[in-house]
Amino acid sequence: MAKHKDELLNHDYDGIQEFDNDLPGWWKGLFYITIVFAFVYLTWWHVLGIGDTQEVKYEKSMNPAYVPLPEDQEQTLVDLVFPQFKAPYTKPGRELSQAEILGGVSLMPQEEVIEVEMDTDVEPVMVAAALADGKKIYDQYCFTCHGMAGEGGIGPNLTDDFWIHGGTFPDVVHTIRVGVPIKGMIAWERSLPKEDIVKVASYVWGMHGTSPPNAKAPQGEEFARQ
Amino acid sequence: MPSSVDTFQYDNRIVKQFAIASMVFGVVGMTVGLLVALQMFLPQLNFGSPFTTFGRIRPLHTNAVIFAFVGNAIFMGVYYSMPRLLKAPMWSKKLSQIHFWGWQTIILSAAISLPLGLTTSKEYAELEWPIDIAIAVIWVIFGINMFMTILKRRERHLYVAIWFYIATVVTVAVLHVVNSFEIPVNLLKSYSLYAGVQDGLVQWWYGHNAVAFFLTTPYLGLMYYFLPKAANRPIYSYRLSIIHFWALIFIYIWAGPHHLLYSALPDWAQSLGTVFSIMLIAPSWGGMLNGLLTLRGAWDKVREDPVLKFMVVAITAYGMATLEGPLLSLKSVNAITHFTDWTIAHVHVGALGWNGFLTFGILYWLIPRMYGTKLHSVKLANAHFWIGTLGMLFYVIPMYWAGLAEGLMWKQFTAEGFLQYPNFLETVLQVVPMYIARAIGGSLFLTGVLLGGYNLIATARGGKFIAEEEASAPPLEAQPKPEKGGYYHRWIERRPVQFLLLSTVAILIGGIVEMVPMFVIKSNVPSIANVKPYTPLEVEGRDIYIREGCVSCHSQLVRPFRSETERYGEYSKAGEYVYDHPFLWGSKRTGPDLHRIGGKYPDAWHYNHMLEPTSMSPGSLMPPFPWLIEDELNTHNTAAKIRALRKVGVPYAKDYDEQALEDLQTQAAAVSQSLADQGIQVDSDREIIALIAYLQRLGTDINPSAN
Repeated sequence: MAKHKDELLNHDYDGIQEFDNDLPGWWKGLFYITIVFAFVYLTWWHVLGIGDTQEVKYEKSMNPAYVPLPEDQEQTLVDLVFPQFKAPYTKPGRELSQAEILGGVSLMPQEEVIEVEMDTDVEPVMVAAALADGKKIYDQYCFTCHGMAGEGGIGPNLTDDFWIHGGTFPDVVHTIRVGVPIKGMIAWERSLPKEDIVKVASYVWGMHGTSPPNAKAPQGEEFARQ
Repeated sequence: MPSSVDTFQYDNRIVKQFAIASMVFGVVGMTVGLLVALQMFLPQLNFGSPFTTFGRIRPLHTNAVIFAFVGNAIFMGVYYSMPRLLKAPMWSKKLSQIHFWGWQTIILSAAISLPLGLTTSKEYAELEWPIDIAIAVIWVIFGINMFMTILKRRERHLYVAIWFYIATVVTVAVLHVVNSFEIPVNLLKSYSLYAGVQDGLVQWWYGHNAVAFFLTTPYLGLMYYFLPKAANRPIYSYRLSIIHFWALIFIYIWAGPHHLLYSALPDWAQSLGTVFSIMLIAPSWGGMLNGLLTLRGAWDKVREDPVLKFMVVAITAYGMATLEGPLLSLKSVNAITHFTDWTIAHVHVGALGWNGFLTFGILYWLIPRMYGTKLHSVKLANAHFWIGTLGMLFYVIPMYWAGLAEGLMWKQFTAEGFLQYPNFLETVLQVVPMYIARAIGGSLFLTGVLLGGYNLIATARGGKFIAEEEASAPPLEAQPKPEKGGYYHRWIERRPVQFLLLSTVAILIGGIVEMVPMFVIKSNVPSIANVKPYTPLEVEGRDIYIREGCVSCHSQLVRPFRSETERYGEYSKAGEYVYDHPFLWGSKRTGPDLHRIGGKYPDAWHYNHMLEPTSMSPGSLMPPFPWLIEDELNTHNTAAKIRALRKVGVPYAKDYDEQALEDLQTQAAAVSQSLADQGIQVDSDREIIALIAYLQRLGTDINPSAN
C-alpha cells in the first residue's frame, strides 16, 4: 500500500480538515494480536475444552488430587457437535480410591485424627503466656457475644457452673471448634489454628467463678468441675 | 458561489443553558461525592438520618455526575457542534427546550427520589419506572431533533463527530429500554422482569455500555470537534477514524460480562466478556491516537493554552483507562481487583480525567466564544488545571493502593492454612489512611472546579452573549454532486438513514449473542430443587435491603476461591438466584459478602448490629440504622408485591397474595419471640424484623441445616 503522509483530504467541516495518514503499524499489530488472542482463548476453553472451568479450578485448589468427572466439565463446542468424538485431551472421569485420597495431598483424613485427639484428650494450658494469647483472641472475637468478662450477652455466661453444650474442657474446645451455627456461634476452626483454639478455651476455662457484674442468668445444665 | 445561498442562525441559548446546568450539577454531584468519601472513614457524617446515609447518597453521587454533569455537557457540546458541522440550525428550537427542561426535571426527580430510598438498586439505572419512562421519552425527543437536523443539513457528508453522536443516541435508547423492563407494584416501586444471573447479565450489559455510549462515544464526538478547533490543526487520520469508530461500537457491546467474572454466570459468557475487552484496546487507543497525533506541530500551543492542556490530560486519561479496563478483564487480574477500591480508582481516572477535564477544556474554549470575549483569566484556568491534576493523582493513587491491599489481604493464608485476616474488618481498617488521602484528592479536584466556575462566570460578565450566530451556506441541492470513486466509506457518510441502520446492527449483535442463549437455554442456569421463593416477610426485608442501598457496600456473591469459601462458605450457584428480582450481587465490598450470612449470627446480633454496628464489630465503619427499629413495617403493599412477583415468574400459588399478610405476621411474631428469648424486646411490626428474616434466609437454601 502506498504511504500516506500528511495528505490533506478535500473535506472541510466547519473549518476542520483531515489528513489521511496510514494507521500506525504498531497499532495495527496490536489489534491483530488481540484478535488472535481472542480466538486462541475461546478455542482453548470452549471449543477444545483444555482449560479448566472455574468450578474445576476451584476443586483443584481445594484438593490437588481432584480429577473432574465428565459432568463437571463444561460442554464444549466439540462435545455439542460431535458427541461421539472422544478426543485425547478429554480427562477420564473416575472416583478417587481411598488409598489415593490418603496418599494425596488432601488433608481430610489427618484432620479427622486431630479431631479425635482434640475432643477427648485435650487439657487446658494454664500458662501465663498462653493465657495472654487466649485473652487477646477472646478480646478480639468473643466479647461481642459473651461480654468483656465472660458475663454473657447475646451468648451465654461463661463464668457460671451452667453449660449448654457440655462443661468439660474438651466440650468447650469442641463447641469453639465446630460452633453452634443455629444459634450463631461460629465454627472457629475455619479461622483459628488449633493452638489458638486451645489457648482461648483455656482463657475461658480460667474465667470460671469470677462472678463479673451484669452476669447473664444461667443457661443449660449444671456441671460441677472435678 | 452559486446565487442561492441560505442564511440562518445557530441557537447558542440552548448551548448556554446546558453549559450552566452541567457546571451547577457538576459542583453538586462532586460535593455529594466528597460527602460519601468522608463517610467512608467518618461514619458520624451519615448524620443518623436515613436521607443522608451512605447507601442512599452514593447513587445520588453517581447519577449526578454521570447524567447531570456529563449528560448536560454532552448536550451542550452536541447542540453547539452539530449545527455547525451540518451547516444547519437545530431542527426545532421547541424540541431543544423540551429536551433541556425535561432532562433537568428528570435530574430533580432523581435528586428527590434517591434519598427517599426509591431505587431499583441496579447500578446507574436506580431510578424507578415512571422516571425511566420520562428518560426514554426525552431521549427520543433528543434523537428526533438530532436526526431531523441531519436530514435538513447543508453539508453532504457526515463528519466523524456526527457518527459518534448517532451511535450514542441509538445505543443508549436500546440499553435503557431493555434494562428497564420492570413490573410496577405501585407508582414508586417495581421489580425487574429478569432474575438473578439473567438480571446480572442484562444489568452489566447496560452498565458497561453506559460507560461506553454515555461516557465515551459522545465524548469522542466532542473531542473530534473541539480538539481540532482549539488546536487549529487537521485531524491526524481519517482512515483511523473509520476503523476505530466501527470497531469500537461493534466490540464494546460484547464486553459487559467482564463485570461478572468468577460469578455464577456461565464460563462461556464470562470468556466472551474477557476476549472482547482485550480486543477493545486497539479501537479505544485509535481514538486516543487520533486525538494526540492531531496535536503534532501544536505542542508549543499546549504549553500556553489551558484549553489544550485540559484536553491532552483528558485524552491521556482516556488512553490509560481503556488499557486498564481490558487488563482488569483478564480473570487472573480480576480475581484480585474485583470488589475492591481498585475499581473506584479505575472509574475515577475516566470520570475525573476523561470526562471532567474534556468538559472543562471545552467550556474554557466555548464560553469566551459565545460571549464574544477572551477568557477572564488564563492564570486562573492554569491554576484550575494544576489543582485538578493534583487532585486526580491524590484521588486515584491511594485508591489503587487500597484496592491492591484489599485484594491481597482477602486472599492471604497463613503457613498453617488459615486466613491471615479472618476478620473482614481488619482489612477495612488497614485502608482507612487511603480513604483519608482520597478525600483530600477529591477536595482538591472540587476546589479546581469552583475556581473554574468563577472564571467562567467572570468571562461571561466581561462579554456580551451572542444568542444567535449568523451563518450561511448553499442548500444541498445547489451543491455539486459528490465525486465518483474515492473512499467506499464516503458512500455511507452521505446516507444518514443507512448509517443509522448499520450502526444499529453493529451494536445489537453482541447483546443478542450473549443474552438470547442465557434466556432460552435452560442449562445456563441449572436449577436447584431446594431453592424456594422468599416468604412475604423476607420479600419486605429484601426491599428494605434495597431501599437502604446495602448493595453499595455488600456483595451477595461468593466466588469460587478457597479464600472466599473459607471466609464465607460455599460459593454461589446460579440456581440460587432464580427468584432474585432484581439481583443483588453488588460490585464493591466495603463490608463483607452477605450471601452466606443466613444462620451465621443470632437474631440478636443483627438487631444490635443494625442499631449500632460498633457494638458488635468494634471500629466498624458501617452507619447505624436506628430507624429500622423505630419504624413500623409498611405492609399495605405486601399483597401487591406478591402479585407483581408472580407476574415476573416467581411461582407463588394462585391467590397467595390474600394469604401473604397472615404468613408475614406469623413469621414476624416468631422472629420477635426469638429476639425476646435472647433478651431483646421489640414489636413484631417493626422493619428490623423483616430485615432480620431476610438476612437469616440468605444463602441457606442449599444448606437447610443452617436455617
